[in-house]
Amino acid sequence: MSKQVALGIDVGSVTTKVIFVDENDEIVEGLYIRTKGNPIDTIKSGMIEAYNVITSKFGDIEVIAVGTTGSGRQLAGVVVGADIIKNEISAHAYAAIHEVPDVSTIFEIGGQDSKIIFIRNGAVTDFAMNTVCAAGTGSFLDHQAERIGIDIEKFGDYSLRATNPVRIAGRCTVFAESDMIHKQQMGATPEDIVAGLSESLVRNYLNNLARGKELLPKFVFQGGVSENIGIVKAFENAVGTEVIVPKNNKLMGAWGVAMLAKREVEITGQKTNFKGFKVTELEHKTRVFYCDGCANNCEVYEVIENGETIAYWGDRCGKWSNRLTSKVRKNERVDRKSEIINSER
Amino acid sequence: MKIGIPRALYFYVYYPMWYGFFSSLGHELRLSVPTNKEIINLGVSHSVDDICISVKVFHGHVKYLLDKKDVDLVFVPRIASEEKYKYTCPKLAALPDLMKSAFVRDANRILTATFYTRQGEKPIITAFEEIGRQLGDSDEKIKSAVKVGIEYQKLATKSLRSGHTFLDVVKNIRDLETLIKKPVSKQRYTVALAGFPYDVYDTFTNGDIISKLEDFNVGIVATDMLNPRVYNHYSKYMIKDLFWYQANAAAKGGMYYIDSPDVDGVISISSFNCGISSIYQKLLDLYSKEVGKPVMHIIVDEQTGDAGLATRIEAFIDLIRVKRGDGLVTQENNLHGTENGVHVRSL
Repeated sequence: MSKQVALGIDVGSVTTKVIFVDENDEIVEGLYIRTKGNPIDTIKSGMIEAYNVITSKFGDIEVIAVGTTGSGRQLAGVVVGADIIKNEISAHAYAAIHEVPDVSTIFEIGGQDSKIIFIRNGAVTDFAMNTVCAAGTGSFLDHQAERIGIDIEKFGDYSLRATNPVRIAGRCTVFAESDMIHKQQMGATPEDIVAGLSESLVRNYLNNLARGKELLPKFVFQGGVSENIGIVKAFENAVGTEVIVPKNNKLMGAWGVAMLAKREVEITGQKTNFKGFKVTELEHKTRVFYCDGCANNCEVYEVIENGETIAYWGDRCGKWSNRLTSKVRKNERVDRKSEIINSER
Repeated sequence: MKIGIPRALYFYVYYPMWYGFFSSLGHELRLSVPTNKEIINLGVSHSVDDICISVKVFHGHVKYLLDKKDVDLVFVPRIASEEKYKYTCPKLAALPDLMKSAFVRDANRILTATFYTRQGEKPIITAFEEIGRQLGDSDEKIKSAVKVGIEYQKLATKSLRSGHTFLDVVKNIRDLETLIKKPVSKQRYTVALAGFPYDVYDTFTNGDIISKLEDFNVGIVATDMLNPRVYNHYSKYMIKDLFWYQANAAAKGGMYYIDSPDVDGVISISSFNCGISSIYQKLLDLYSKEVGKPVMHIIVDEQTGDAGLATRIEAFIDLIRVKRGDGLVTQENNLHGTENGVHVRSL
């Protein structure tokens, strides 16, 4: 019998994560790739790659459930045929609770947003996301690493070597950058600057998101930035206790949504919507147009699969997206019917 | 006369009164269209830089009406006070002046009077008399028109108290009696919206939070549906009352909903850089911490991309679901995606 796995896809603003989980909810294969400009191509190449790796490991596989999350979750969901499309907060929290059942506070910093999630008794009780700016997220660190000329992977080691971290304004990336340049021109070492940046980032994060809310252990830190040991240390200094970085720290969102997809399929008892790995052979195009139905001029996004529109979104009134729902529903019914007929034969 | 009424700010509170008054005098009303991108652009380009988006949007609505050839005058009342010792935000109290300075060439087309809606009907009558005289109506007619206006306002308040949103009131302005009798269907979840009516009901500016919630079969209540009598005692949780009636309504009404067993969570909606909003948000935060009901703040600005908003709303609903013991997966309409044709189950 072929191995049964669930597929989880987390399309973030900077990176895309594709993972497979087995019957024990363990990740058997995980990929972490840059989203670049084209999420659809990234998802597809990620799926091919993941498929090749997993089939070479286990032979034949059967995908029983698919979940998508991240800011590109809708797009990924229609392209691969997802059973569940979940917001990243719930997906991240689900995986963190699975990994560390008595977690109380989750720090999550990704490419373009940062979140704090408060958990009590295994359920999310509160959350906050960064509001107006992306200061202190992965993209900013990337940019700064490039500017200083050190590898982002070595960023953490640099800050650990610092002897006397300088103070950097963390409120805004523009000020942080000018502050860093100023300090560097005054003669601060890259190590001290990088360490100062990590501290200011954590300070800013806690001021902005935690805002006087109760920070209770255990703490879990996940998302791409949790790779950075310097930031982990800065968090530990700030909260005064251990901060757990789970083993799948970068894949938590995808892992969470894969598990949720499994639950979904188990409960509904329906066959997965997954279109199979053949979707990588289908041609997907996206188109943006301005609807001229009213003065809103909504930016409407259209996803076209092999010449046929499979999704619209972005229209505020539902003029386009509603039009399609009925069509998809019809197609799906036809699909299901033909499936039944085929299985009866 | 054809009178333009900007669909912004106090429109979302006193429109019924204005409607009753002007139409009873036989003037034609022209409402500006609900806020859209064009209106926001107009507003942003005609207003000063550092005011809140709600006032900027108001500029847009006024400009839209001034640009219309068939609008003679644009009604911009100065609502100075709605409760004893409470005054409105300075920007709102200065609205007619702001408009006259922003649209100097059309300054004489701004129709205004100062309203104190706090001490019974007399000051309201005075203000409307001022307006009626500017329009050349007789005192007698004005007096009966004011009565009609006040009657409309009372009916609107009644509709709100029976659980209808102000958007329903606007839609059914001609037949509020029927609206009052219409029952509001009960949903599995109820979310309360706390905030100024113009932030809660301006569906374009706030990314259509109401529809987003309704897509998840969440029922809506809002702080303007409450009779102040039910929440006035919450003053004791604040050092003292805030200086603006609407801010008090948002703060205390929000607290009332935090305590209410029929409400699963409270979402506050405010515009970026609104000073008083930051105060009532903090008050709600502190109070919710005591009671343990989920509270989320949505702060709106000029942005139109709504991925962040959708994520927050979805996560908030997940939170409520888990709290009610419904779990994260499997409901008939569990995703926003249903609408987009992403995840449609055969029935």
